[in-house]
Amino acid sequence: MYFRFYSRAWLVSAWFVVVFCTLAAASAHAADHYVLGMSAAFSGPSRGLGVELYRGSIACFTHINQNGGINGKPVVIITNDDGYQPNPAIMNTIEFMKKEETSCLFNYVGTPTVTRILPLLRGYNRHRKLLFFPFTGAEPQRQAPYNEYVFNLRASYRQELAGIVKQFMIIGRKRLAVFYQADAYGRSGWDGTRRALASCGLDIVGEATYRRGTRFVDSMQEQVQIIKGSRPDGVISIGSYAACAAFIRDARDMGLEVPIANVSFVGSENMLSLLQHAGKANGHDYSKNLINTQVVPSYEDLSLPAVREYRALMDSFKPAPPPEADPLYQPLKYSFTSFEGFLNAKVMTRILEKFDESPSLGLAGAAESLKDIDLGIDVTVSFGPDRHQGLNRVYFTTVRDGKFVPMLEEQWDSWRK
Amino acid sequence: MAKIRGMSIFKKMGLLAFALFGAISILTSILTAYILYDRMTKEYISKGSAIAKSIAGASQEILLNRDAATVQAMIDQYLEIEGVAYVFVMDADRFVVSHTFVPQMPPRLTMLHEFKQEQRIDELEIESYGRIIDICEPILAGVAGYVHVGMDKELIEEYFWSVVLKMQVLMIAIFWVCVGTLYVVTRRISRPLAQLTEYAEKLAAHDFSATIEIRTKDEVDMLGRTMESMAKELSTLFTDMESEVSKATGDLREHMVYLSAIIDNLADGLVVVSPSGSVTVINPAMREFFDLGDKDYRGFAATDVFPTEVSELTTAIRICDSDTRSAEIPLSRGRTGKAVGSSICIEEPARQCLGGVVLIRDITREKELDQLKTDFIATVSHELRTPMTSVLGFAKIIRKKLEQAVFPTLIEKSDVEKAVIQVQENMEIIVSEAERLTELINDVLDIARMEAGEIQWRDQVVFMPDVIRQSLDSTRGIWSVKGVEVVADVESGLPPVRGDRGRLVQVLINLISNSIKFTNESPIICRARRDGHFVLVSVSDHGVGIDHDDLESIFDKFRQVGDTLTDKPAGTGLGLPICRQIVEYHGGLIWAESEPGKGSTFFFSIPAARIRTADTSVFEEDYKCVLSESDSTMLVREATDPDAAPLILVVGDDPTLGLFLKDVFTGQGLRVAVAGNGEEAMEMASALLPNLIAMDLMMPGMDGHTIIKCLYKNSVTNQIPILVLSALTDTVSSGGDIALTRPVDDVRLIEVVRALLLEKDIRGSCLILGNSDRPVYKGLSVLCPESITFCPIDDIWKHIEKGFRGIVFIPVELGEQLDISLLSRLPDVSVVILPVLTGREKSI
Repeated sequence: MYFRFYSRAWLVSAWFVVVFCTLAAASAHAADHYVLGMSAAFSGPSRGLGVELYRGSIACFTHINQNGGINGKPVVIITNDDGYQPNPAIMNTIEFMKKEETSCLFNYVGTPTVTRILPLLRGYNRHRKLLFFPFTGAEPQRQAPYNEYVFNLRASYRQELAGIVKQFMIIGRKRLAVFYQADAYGRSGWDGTRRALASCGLDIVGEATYRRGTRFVDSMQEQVQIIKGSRPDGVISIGSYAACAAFIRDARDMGLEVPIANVSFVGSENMLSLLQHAGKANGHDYSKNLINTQVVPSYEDLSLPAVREYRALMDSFKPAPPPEADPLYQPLKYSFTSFEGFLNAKVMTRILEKFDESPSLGLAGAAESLKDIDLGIDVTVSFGPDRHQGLNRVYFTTVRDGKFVPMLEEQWDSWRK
Repeated sequence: MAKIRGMSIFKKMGLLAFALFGAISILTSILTAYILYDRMTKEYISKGSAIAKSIAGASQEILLNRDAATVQAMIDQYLEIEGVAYVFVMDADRFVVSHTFVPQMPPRLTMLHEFKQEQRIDELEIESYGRIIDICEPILAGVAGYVHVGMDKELIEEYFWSVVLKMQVLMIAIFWVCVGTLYVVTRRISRPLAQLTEYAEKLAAHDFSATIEIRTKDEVDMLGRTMESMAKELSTLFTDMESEVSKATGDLREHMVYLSAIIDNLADGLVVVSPSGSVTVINPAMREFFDLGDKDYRGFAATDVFPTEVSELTTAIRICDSDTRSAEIPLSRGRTGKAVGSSICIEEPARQCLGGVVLIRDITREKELDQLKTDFIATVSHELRTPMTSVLGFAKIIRKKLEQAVFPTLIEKSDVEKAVIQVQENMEIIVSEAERLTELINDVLDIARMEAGEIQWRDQVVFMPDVIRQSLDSTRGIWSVKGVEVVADVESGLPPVRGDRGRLVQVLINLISNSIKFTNESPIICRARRDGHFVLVSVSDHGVGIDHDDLESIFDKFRQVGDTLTDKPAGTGLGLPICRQIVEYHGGLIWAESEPGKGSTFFFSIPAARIRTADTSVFEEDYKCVLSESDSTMLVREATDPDAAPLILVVGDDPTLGLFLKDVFTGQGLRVAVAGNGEEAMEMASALLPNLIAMDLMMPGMDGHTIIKCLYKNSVTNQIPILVLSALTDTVSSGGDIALTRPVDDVRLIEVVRALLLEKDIRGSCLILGNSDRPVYKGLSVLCPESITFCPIDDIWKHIEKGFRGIVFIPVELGEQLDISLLSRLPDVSVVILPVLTGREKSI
């Protein structure tokens, strides 16, 4: 299993080298480029996250590269599929770190994968490389000893969960249950929920786990039964979109109609797509009473310049999924994930530009020197030696007209208890 | 190939090997698997301990920092290790900070206890996981928390069974390889054996031409050769034996043909029956005797084929429990056969009954001859007897007249004295010879009638002592004259016999007479004994005795021992044959034993009768009547002279009364006989046929009433009128014809007697058939001085039955309606045919 991923990674990187060489030869800057190593889930139940994150970043980098790149140096992402499993992620990371041309690690997806590669960042065979903007809100990379090797853009799960718990408290839903993935990601969500509730003097009323890699077609009735048994006012779901969608489907089928909140990691559009398909087949609207927290603004908020730019680039480039991606996967037009990827790429461009100006700073120094950068969203991004997280804001969305849109106050009121 | 019952040796060995191999392989694999199981359990525990220690060591800092996600990331990787069922970590407050359970942590696991200082190992069973070894390691002596690692024990058991299964598969594979090898090897050994078996079976089926192809050059090869040579020997022996058998069969067949020809050509009929009664052999003569045709009767039941007489004979002999039997049997077309049947019995090797054989000879011709002879003798005797009776009667009358009337007148004349004496002697000779001749004729007639089966036998209860007494009385005249004493020796309590008393008396008289004839020494002993179911009577004397060779032949007709020429002929020679006829008729035997010069003993035995005591009274009366009867054929009846004066029998024990009556009746020109008692009266009445019986009712022994009853029962005496003289006034019920009360006066007595005589004496009378209106023929009164009776033609036989004796006149026109020859054959009846209205009579 691990061996398979490993060999595929080799093949994929070889392919990219060939493509890039031909491109480089044409631009006359043969070896002078920025290479970002991305190990993410391009296959398996969470493939949508990796693919969409990649597509958003590529949309941005393609635009940058088409305009001369970073001071003439194009930015290239080399991808390796880890299938959302820790060991392939480790192997992929080792591979990236061995390669001299890889500038840094970028756009990793998933808590269990990221938390496991953290020790490698501290130094592997004198190779040291930074990880930028992993697609996870877990705590380990935000805390010592690993926080100095990792730069996060998105808010943490703790922040997300504290936000959602706070909202539930406001509307009087105090019996909260947790449905989570039995791994570090799920555990960090669970931990966040627990901490948030503990600050209010409450505890989780019920919890159920599922095994990582569970598909949408698998049954979640057992978990629903456990959660339902605790008579919750609301459920907080920390998992991948396939498993969460399955849980929502079975919960609604079994009569559990309380609001279910998902965190940003879930990949809202992928989840909604599955629920809509299932809803059509079963004659049931599974999109009701859903709360999805996001760490980026809604891509539907066209008042934001970044949203407009994102949409324009996505429309014009229609980025293809990485070659490792599952050929059956249908790319989404827009998504929170690809928008996050887009924002990640945008921040990364600024960092690379800074680095290109003064390479002596190193990548870490370049990143830490960025202050109050306006990305075109309603908040600015700043980094510093003690501040390796760019954004702290949490956005609440819900489904309306078949799309995830920003939550309105009256929606909260309708759930008030 | 002969079937082997049960399993062959190879199969048994195979089965045994399989069982042993199975046992060994199971035991081995179980042992191996158990060792593995034990080892693995220990390994799992140590593995679990190592993991727990490792987690505990690595997570100290993290736990203190309370970062659950990092702990989770760490324990997740241990979950991938084989055999680890779960891992969970608790903080110091025993709050589970991370675990690997899906969908939730089993509540039971939160109850587990931990040691702060050391590792703890528990074995428990959790639903959805099965049996688990839980290893608990404290982190920082419990200050940081505890780590629990669950090792899956089910996996160990899975390994265990998988090992057992794999070993079994291997063992079975090895086993079948061994079986295959052994099969090939044993087939090589068993093939020649199978060939040998096949060859032996061919020999058993007498196929000596078969050969055997075993060239293995070992013991089996040698056995095969030996069997081949044995087969050759056997073949030779068989050929010799077969020729011997066919020769013997030929001889036997020839012999059978010979025997069969003899049987077929027998003049006598022959039939053989099996013990079950079916016919097995029947010859042509037999078929001809019964007109059986050519049908094959073998297997038919003899009772279905033959008439009853033959069937009975075959039934009697076929089961071998009786002696030879013989019988006269009517054959077809009126013929008569003499059948002799005997059982077919073999004694060797064991007594066995094979049925019976019956031979039948056609004796029709012999029977005819015998019948002719019997008829001849009967006719001759009858024709002789009638004149002889006259001769004897007249001789006696002449002798009486001479002695009464003639000789007294010549007694004075000496010149004729010598002639008178001579005449007297000659008359004696004439009378005695006539008597002897009469006796001979009677005997001959008797035996002829017996042989012809014309005798009427009585069936009575007879007491042998009475027979002996009567016989002694009857013979007293002879033996008292000769001066020999006859003694009766009768066992008490003898059972009676059934038979004809008169005939039995005749037998005994004959035997006693014989003894008297041949002995001069007293005594002659007449014994009666019981001998089983028989009454045995013997007569012993001390006479001349009989030669041993003659003991059988003396019972033949006309055989007298001794030289009849030199010895005076003292009998007819028919006595013993008659005796034998009588005894054998009664179902008894007669034989003689003798020592010549010392004497001889004659025996006869009669079967004892079974009598119920209730019959005794009836029997008593019968007995008395029987006693009073005498058969006319036994005693010579004095010829009745029609001219002689009527005879009156006086019966009474009072001599004065007897003398008085005799005087009265003699004075009236009547003849008188006197009987002293009842028995005597009965005998004399039968013998003399008196015209009248005058009787005193009061008598000892048989009283008057009984005598009268018996007389009336007897057909010979029932016509005789009876005059009863009684001292009693009440004599109405006496039963006689007339009764007079004593004392009687002469005149009255004579009147009554004359009246009775005139009324009842019809012996000299005439009977004219037809109505009384017929004119009486002239001269009939001369022929019939006493009375003429007219009677209808149908009543003639009634008169004959009533005892009519005399002349019957039959008008010629009625002659056709009557069997005149039968009538004329009757004794003492004369038949005269009267011509029709000619006025002249014609006598025949």
